[in-house]
Amino acid sequence: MIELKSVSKVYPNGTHALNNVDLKIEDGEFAFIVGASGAGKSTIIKLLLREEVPTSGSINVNGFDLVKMRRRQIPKYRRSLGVVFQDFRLIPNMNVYNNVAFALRVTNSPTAEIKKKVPYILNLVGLASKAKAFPEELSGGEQQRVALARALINNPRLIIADEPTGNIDPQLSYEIVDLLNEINKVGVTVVMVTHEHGLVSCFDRRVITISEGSVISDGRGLPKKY
Amino acid sequence: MRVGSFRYLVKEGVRSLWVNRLMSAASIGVLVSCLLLIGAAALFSININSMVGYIEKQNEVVVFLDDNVTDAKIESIEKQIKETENVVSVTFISKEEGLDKQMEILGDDKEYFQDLVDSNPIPDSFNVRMKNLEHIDETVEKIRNINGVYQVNVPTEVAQIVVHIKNIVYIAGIVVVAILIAVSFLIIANTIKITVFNRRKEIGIMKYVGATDGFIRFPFFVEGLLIGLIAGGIAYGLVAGGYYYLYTRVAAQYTGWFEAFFNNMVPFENIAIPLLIGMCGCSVLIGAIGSTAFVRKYLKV
Repeated sequence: MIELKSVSKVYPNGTHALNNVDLKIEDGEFAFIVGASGAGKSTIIKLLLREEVPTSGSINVNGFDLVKMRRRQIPKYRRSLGVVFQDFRLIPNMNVYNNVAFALRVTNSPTAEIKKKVPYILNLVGLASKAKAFPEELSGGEQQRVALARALINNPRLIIADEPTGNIDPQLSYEIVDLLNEINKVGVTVVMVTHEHGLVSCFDRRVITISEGSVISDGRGLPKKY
Repeated sequence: MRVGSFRYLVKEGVRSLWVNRLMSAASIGVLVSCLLLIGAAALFSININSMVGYIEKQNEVVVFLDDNVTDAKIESIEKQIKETENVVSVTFISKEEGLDKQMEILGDDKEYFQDLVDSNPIPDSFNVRMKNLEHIDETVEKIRNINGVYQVNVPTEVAQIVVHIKNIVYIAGIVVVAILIAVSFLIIANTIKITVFNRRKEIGIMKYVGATDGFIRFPFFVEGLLIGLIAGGIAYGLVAGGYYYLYTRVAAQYTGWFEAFFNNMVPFENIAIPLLIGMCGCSVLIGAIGSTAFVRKYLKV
């Protein structure tokens, strides 16, 4: 469960990114977070990833108190999540297999377990044949699927997707969100930040709309004015 | 941390070295250059000190004995002088030899001294060489107090000059090597900073996936260690090899003052191991510490 209580974020340069935001996302939910550029979507992601700390308020994610958390506890928290970014964020000098395996390495998983899990998950995302390829040899869609495989391999309870379809063509974008949808059906909470309203309207899911640092709507499907 | 993870991280360090081989080669090149300079400067300084030490030992003090000392007394005095601290060599010059030497110095004028052969005024003496001219006064005082010693001629001015030069050379050597080490640190630090900067994106990604700081730093540590080892090995090979060549080949070919110089060159065997430990030790420390230290900046995600 994700719970933001009266969260405000003011950056050092004076920008008021979030104003008293209250948000609750239950286990197993699928929620889109939409809004214009500069609305505060990226800030919410940064807060959820503990890249930033709120200026005021509290954030609780699956039992982790993100405000009180110490720096050395952050890696453990991040390992409990699966994150997918717009720019894929694959390690360039590692092949697909090792990029995915890396998520298991950081949790000190035994090599035997890695040898079993990685091929399985690559198969799941349809990239078993590209295990030895390097990120630069893959298309955008393939890279994102590798990123997704990496996000899934530790069986996270929560997946955070920050504009995962930003660099992908429309057809593939739909497939990726569809994949996230399937993952959600198994019980994984999914939070997806996006500005692609066309995509959002294809799925009948909860949509949280942010504008100028506040939640202006929160319900099923896109608000009427969109 | 389990053994498997440790092995993985070591392998990652080695792999990084190879994958980023251009930057690794640059780092090794820079480190080798700096070590070559420092090693050469250090060896040069050690040898100059040895040379000055040699010059120092050449300085002679003449100990004149009382008139009519017996042979037994001469032996006793020689023994006492030899046992005095700081004395390196003692050479007996009999009054006859002393007179001959004077005649040699006088050259054509020596006929004036022909008559003196029968009543030789030149006393028996010892030429004494010391190790450390800084303590020349103390040593001479001890010799003066020996029963049977009449007078000691001390080339005080020369001794003072030699001591002065020795101190300057010693300090200059240390200062030069220290400056070279400081400059090397700066150059190497910069090189490592650049290599880490190039990998900042990779470091950030690892943090997002949940890697701990230690997990990210360790392969860099291994990489830095290896770079240090390789650079140290190469630099040592070049410096020691060059020194060995100089010591064995060149020294044998020259005579005269060159010979005197090379006779006082510090033997290769004496410097071989300390040089290896010094160069590789410094090299490994710089590589390992430098690599891990500069990663910190990019771990703050």
